[in-house]
Amino acid sequence: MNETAKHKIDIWILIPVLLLLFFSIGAVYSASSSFAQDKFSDPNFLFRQHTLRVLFGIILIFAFAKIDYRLIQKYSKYLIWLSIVLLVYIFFGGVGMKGASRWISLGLLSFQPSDFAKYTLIIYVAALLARKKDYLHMLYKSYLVIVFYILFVCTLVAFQPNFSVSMIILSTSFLMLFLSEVKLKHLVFTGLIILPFAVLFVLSKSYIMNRLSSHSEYTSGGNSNYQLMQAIIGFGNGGITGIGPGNSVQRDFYLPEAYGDFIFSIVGEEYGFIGTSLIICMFALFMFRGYRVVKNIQDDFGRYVAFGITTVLSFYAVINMCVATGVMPTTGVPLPFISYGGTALFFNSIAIGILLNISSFASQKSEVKEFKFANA
Amino acid sequence: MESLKKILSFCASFRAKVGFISLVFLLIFSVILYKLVNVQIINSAKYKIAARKQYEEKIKITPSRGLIYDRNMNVLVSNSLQYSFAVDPTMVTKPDSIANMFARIFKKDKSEYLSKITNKNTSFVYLERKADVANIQGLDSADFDGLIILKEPKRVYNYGRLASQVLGYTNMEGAGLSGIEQSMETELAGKDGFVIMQRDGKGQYKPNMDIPKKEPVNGNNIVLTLDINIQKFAEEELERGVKETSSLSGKVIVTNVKTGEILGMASYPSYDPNNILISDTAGFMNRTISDVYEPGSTFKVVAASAALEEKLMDKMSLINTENGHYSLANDVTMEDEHKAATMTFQQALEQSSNIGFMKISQKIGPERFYKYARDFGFGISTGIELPGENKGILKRPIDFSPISLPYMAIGYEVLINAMQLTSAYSTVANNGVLLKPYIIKKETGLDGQTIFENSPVEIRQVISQNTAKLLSTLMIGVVETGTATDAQIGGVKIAGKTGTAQRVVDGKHSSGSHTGSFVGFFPADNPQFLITVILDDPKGGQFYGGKIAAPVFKRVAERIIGFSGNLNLNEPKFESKTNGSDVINVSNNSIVIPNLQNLKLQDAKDILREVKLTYEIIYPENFNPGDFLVVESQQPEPNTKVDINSKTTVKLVVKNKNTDVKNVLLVPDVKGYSLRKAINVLSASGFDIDINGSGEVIDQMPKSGSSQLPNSKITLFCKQIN
Repeated sequence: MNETAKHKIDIWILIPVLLLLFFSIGAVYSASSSFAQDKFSDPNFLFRQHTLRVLFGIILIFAFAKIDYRLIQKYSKYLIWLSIVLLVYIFFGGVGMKGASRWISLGLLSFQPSDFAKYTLIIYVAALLARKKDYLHMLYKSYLVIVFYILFVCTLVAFQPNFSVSMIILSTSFLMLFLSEVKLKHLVFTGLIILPFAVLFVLSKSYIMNRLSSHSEYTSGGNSNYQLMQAIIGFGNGGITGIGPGNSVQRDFYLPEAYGDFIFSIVGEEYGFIGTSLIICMFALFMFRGYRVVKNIQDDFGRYVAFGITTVLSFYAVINMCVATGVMPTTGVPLPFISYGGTALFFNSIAIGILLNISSFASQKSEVKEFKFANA
Repeated sequence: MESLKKILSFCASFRAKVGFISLVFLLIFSVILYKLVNVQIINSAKYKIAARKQYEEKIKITPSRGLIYDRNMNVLVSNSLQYSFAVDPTMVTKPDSIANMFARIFKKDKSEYLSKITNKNTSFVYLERKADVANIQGLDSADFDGLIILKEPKRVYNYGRLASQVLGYTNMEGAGLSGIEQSMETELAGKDGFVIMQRDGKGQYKPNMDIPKKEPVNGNNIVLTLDINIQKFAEEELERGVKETSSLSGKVIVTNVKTGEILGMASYPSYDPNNILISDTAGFMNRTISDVYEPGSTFKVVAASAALEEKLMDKMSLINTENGHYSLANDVTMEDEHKAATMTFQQALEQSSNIGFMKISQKIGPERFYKYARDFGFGISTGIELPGENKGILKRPIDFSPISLPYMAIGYEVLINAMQLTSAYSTVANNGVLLKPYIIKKETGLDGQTIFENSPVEIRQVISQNTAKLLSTLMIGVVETGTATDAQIGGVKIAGKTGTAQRVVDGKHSSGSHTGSFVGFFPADNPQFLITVILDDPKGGQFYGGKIAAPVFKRVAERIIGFSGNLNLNEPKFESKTNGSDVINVSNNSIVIPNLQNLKLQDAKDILREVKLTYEIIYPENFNPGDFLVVESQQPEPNTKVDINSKTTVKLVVKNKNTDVKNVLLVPDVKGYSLRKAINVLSASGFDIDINGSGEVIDQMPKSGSSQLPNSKITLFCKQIN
């Protein structure tokens, strides 16, 4: 536990992330200039903000890459309770946006606690799994405690309402449990118990049903999902090579808020299939390198955190891209590192910093061929 | 067993679990890639079209329609602009200001406008329709929420009723429906241009784009052979003649016998082409080519020509005229007013003896008679460049009854139009050569260059020069001592022939209804002009052609002679009758500078080009090609008269109104409407509609409240809602 970092950070995690961040500067400019011109009479308004945020994000990445991730383990309990307080606060002091009160306004900055909560939950679950590693098979002593935290946080997020993020956090946390020595039986039972509640939640929230039904209409050739229709037109209009940086026509109010959850479509329009497939490759590379750290690190906490961070970001990426391409029903999930959005970028950068720091503790080559969990 | 255990334990290892999870992610990445290949590569073309469809719009640019001139380049037909104003009451924010402005400009009661503007049940209501550009006092550049301004080109007939049936008129879209406007449609219309505009999802046009554009090709101008002065003489004297003789209708044609050019072509009644909606349709007909009738004695020119040409008769040949009582067949007897026992050929022509010409026709025989009639052009279209010619009926010999030939000889059992008669007599005046009549002198391009010019076309030598000369001489006798003494003009030798025919009423020739006509040409020894006058159904007591038509001929001829002096066809000094339009006002030697203030720059340029004024534009300091430029001030001031030869240049100071595309309609909100109602609302507002689905409108593109050009397409998304 007290060993120091033996290795350098994994630059193959850093490189795709940096490329995606640089790429996002151009993409956000393209996607937001018309909107910004219309709304703020300044085509560069969102672009300037985003550029500053990206620069700040890069600083955060390098800063957290230098901080020993094990420090975080100590504060994990305070962090989870801070995020719970913030999530609860939202119900009283949140700032509404499109019918959802997901934001806390801190004067100049607005702050989305769910972005914070997803990482604090990952860290706390990782900390619990590491601490209780010897009796993870015990239902009351460890398993239910962990599940309690997971469900508590996910329920709070779901009621923000932010169902999709809640589902991503829930899935990530349970995958962390799945990775551990927790009994598979317990996991299956938990899943069977949660499922009816999730269904009930979906049915009670008309907006989710609307999206699901409009998606089925889209897939059956209907036209009512205007945003998705425009996103697909954007991809198609780009073709293989794209119509060139800054030339998007879809961003001119055909695709609403193109700089946000549907930015992938604008990338597809301007940079074509070459651009979209490169972005997919970046995310795939990131995922593989992230999981490589998971495989090669000895420290339990580090392993779970690395797994959680890699998984949650990969979830965001695939869900965003699935939504933009119409593989999945529309839900508001930003594309990590690319979409415009301050809070997400801020915490994602910190997460990448942490992941990089963890990577410096992992062996660069697969030294341990058949590493058995818990040194069994 | 050992290996199974090994596999199981490997599966339980976290490495296997991580591997499994990354495989799942990889699978999802592949699904996304598959989808992208599908959308971006395989079906890309389809989506490119879809994208184009929604952001590009082809906007027609209407070319300027060609002008029509008379032979002396007087502008007979030109273009102006008309404005219609409407409001979308649901969009109006300042109803009072709009009502005040309209009440002031159109001098009507303010409450009238206010009630329209505040009617919230509609999204489109006209305030004023088709207001002249001269009368709107800058209203076209008024900028109120919900005010809809529509601009339409308007055809202006500068001489009002003059030559109205020849010129024709256009429909609302500016396409020719009759007359020259119709027959020269292709030449006048020009070719539509277009501009492909890009617009954004809000339906607004994007400024400063590299706009693909095809300039329209403006229509060419048409110069007619008509002389507006002769036209005026013909119409005025025709009207007088019709009124004095209480005739139903009438027609006059004046031609140049040397060329076949039509100098005047008048039909009465006429109509006002500037107000076609309130005109009596009886006036729309160009009767000179669309009316066919039994000509009576004027048709004797066929038998006379045949008899002389075939040497069956000469001037002094004697004809037994049977004391005015001639039995053609068992039950058909011809009674003639001329009770002479015999007549010379000359007397028969001068006195227009029916029995004499019946006798002559029998010498000629059906085949030869038919040949001459056909050679003169009867029963065939004259080929005049005007729509609606009725070529009449000339029976073939095989269809003749025993009495057909004698009756045809005196102008019955045959249907002709006035133009055919004119051509036939012009043949006699032109040494026996039939010329193709024409009314299009030339077609000129924008810079006045000639694109096409007509020249006289000889169709055939119908009779020899000698026969023609002899016939002309005999026709002088008709005027000097025969039936047409009323056509005489002191000092000018006139040759001609009268005609009086009974009209068919209820299937029988009536002794109470006639067509009186006279065809004459002068100077008879070297003919220049030929005038045909036909009056239908005179009810004033007199009905003989020599008594009713010959005086009209005489007055028209006198005015032509008095006007052209030496009987040469040049330089008329006729002044244009301006027709209420202050904008286009070409008089003989001065031009009134039109009021261009607050007009769009392009409109101002168009108007100046039309009145042939050069212009100089002073642009604002910084402007972009897409900007909305209007004339702020002009030099010289509006309504200043300048000499046509002074080569005045109009200076236009232009200001930037800083709006991309004006003259647009606001899209009404049809969401929640039934499809039928939505279509009604949108088409009433002037939009085209594209429908997806059926039932209730759940979405529309572009959104309501966005600005669109008239006739742009609104896409409706509909859904059955139970």
